Amino acid sequence: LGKYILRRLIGVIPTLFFTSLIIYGILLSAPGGPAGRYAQNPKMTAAEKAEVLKRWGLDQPIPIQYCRWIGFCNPNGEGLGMFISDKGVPHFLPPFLGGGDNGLVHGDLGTSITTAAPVTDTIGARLLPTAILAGTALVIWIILAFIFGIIAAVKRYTKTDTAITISTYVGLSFPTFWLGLMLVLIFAAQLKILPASGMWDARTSPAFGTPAYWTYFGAKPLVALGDMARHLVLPVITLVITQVAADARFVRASMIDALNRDFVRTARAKGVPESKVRTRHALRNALLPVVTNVALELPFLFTGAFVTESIFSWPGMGREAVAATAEFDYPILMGILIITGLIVVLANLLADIVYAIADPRISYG
Amino acid sequence: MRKRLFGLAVAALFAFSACGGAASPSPSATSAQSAAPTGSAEASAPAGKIDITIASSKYKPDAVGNTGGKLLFGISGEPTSLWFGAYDNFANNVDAFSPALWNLWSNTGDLKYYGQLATNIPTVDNGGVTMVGDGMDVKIDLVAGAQWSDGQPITCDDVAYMVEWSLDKDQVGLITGKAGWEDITGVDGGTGTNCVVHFKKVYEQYLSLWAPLLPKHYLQTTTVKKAQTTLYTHAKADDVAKGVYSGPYMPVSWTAGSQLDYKPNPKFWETIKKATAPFDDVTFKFYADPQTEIAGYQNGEIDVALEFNHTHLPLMASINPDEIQGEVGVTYEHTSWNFKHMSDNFGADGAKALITALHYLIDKDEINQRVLAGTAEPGCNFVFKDAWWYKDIPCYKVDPDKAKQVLDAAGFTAGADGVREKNGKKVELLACTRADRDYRVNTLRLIGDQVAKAGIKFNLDHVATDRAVLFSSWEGPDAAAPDAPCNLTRGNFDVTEFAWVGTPDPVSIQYQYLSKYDPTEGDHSGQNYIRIKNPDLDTKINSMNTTVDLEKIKTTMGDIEDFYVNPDNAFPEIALYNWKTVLIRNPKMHNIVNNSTAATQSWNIEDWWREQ
Repeated sequence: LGKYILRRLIGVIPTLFFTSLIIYGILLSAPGGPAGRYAQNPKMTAAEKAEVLKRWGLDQPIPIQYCRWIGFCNPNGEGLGMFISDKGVPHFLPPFLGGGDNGLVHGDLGTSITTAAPVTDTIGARLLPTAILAGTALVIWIILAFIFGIIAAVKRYTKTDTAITISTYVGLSFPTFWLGLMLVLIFAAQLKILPASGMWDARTSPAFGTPAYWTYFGAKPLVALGDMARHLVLPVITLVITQVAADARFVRASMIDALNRDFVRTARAKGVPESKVRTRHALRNALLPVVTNVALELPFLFTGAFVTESIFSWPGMGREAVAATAEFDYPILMGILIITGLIVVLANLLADIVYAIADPRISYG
Repeated sequence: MRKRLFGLAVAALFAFSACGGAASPSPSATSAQSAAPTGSAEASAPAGKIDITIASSKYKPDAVGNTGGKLLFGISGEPTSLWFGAYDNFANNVDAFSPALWNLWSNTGDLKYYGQLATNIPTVDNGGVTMVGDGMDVKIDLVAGAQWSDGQPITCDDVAYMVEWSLDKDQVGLITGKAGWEDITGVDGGTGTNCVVHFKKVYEQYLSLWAPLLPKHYLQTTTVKKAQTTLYTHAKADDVAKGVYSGPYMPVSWTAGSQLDYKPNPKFWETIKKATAPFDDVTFKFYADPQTEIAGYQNGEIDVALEFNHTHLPLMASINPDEIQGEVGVTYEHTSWNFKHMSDNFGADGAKALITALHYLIDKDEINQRVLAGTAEPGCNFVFKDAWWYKDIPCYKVDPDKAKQVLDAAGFTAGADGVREKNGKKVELLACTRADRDYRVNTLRLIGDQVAKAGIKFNLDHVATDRAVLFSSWEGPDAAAPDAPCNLTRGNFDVTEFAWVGTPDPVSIQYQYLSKYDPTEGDHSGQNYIRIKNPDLDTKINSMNTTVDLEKIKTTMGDIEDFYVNPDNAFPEIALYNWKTVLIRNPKMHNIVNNSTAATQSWNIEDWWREQ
């Protein structure tokens, strides 16, 4: 297994490289761009606008921009010289060997075009809010998916199964933006029992993540947690309603498959109580594909939910990605997308490992 | 709200609308104000002269009746930086910036100037502007004793350094460009507060400079090249606290995606306003869209909800009307017609007849009722009624019969399908607007129906166009394909609808109507999308560009307004209606006064206070 993991980890590099290449090409080729904010400004001369593009590196052909972004090219170099660092060695080498310091290979994701903040800082500030929202929603919807899926499987083809199937599909069919907005209008605007948006009550609490917040949290942990819980309710409901259906169907199918297997029939024939047949025999075997599926959903903890975070002004990765898209903030978008790519690849690897651990029959030799 | 009605606010000009305003502080009862003659010299005009008042606003704030507590106000959208007026022009940024950094002058909602860090509004009439050879001297009296937030004095050195800083060879990305700055030959006054700025030629837009005034000693803590990325940044939440400010409230924390927190700037209240700050804390909260912002207001999350327009009024049906403030503002919706296209197809006379007919065919009242539920105020002049150069011209009446007569007389004949044609070409016009503005798409569809009655056909294939294509540059990374349908810069359209945001400076119309700003010409950055090339109009606009004589400007603008409004002149832009600028406020809040200019609705935040 160790060799397998190592092999897979090495495989991550070309996967990410080609992923980034494709994403970068698509992003930069799309119509529009950050220069649009200056396009209609006759007070700036064409030369001044060209200087702005140069500062952002957008004056170069896309392959060179990509080369700089990934860190193989020196922004100060020209021609073949761009592959050489200021210290005269190949630019992709690490700084301590005289290489460059820009680009992905040097751990630099660049600077936001919109805010001039380092991409790593921007992403770093958004991670925890997304993890809190996505993590809460993920746990709840997986639990509900198991409950609904198992009940539907055990009572398959009954009215209960039909009711669960229909209700989960209805939830799945709701457009996220519509559902979120309806919840806001009902519970915030009309009933006034839950906040319309945000992660904390700005009237009583310091902003999340600031030193003042942690002081506040330390002094009043229950109040702070309660406040956050209130703000979590609507976005979590939105996510759970729209996400639970797929997993519930997956659990149901897996459980039905397990319940039809020979070993279940054997257990029943041996007189094992039905409750034990379901939990000890069928469920444990049904878990295998489900656990794999859950592992594949882990990147959601990082990427968040674009639409839900935007509707509820949840200051996470999804909201940031939407804002960056609107502003053509390529460095931010590339940063989010490449880290997402990395986590997806790692989540796949994790799923395979979990699968192997859960089922000793699997061999990765 | 608005991803942006974005404005080229400080940059002066007129900007496309998409959302909303801009910002600037109040002519309130600041010491700056009370010490200032605030335009009194213009207020009483000598006999025989036109009465021109550019500085006497109707705005009179209530005295602060209560202090303390926390103010929360919100917008839909999120600002991106505090560099408004310098490196960016996003309308959302104004609300973030205006509490923090003051200009020398700003504007009230009724389009009057008032001093912020300056106590005078220099004009020729009050002796603040004197002509010197081909140039001019402008006197600027700063608030005596005023200090930056770090206690450094605000002096003429700051005024002078802004010129140097703006013209530095390493300066990149100033949205104002070098216009105006490069005409300045020197600033006298040193460390005092009575400054004289020497211009080598007349620069009519001098009141738009120093917006904001930035602190020399803070700018000098880094290189010009690195200023944008190292000063006033918010990479980390509390980075903004390191900045140096001049406004009533200083940013202390910016939590990306959520809110911007301010504390009173003690130096402002001690040395400029000479009063007690009405609030102990101020939080500027960011919502995802107008609906959640309204819901947040209804839920008591914010005291004031900003940056709405008439299209949002239907969303406020469940709010007490007393809490809604909506006023007609400077932003006007209009249709632009590509005169060159029409001339190429139907000859210059044919194009003129066609545009005249279109004026008579478009029923703006019907548009207001059917598309906007009666929320707008139809009009025919592009100038806001409160502007000091506004000329009250009666609007022409909708008259389809007259339109048909004009078309008949010009040789447009109806074909077998009912569509008129001339020179063997059918009058089929390509209509384009932003796909994300439903009301514009619907308006163009309705206009299509209105003009069809006279045999004019709208091609609506691209009526909903990607914004990036509609407004993309002539060339460069954000340019659309040269033949992309509906690209305004390339002129690949016949009619489009959007909005211009009027400014307190009438000369900004030059970028829309001067021949040289046809995007086909020069560096292709002009906004004369309608491709109007009228030598007489050019002469008039150019004459305003080189004078600071307000009477002459007003007279000339009156002529231009006459020319614009009269359908017989076939001006290829047809004003439809002025937007309403709308906000919602807690009834206990005082001094909340709308402002549709680049100053935005938070313009007078230092005067806001809340009853207990």
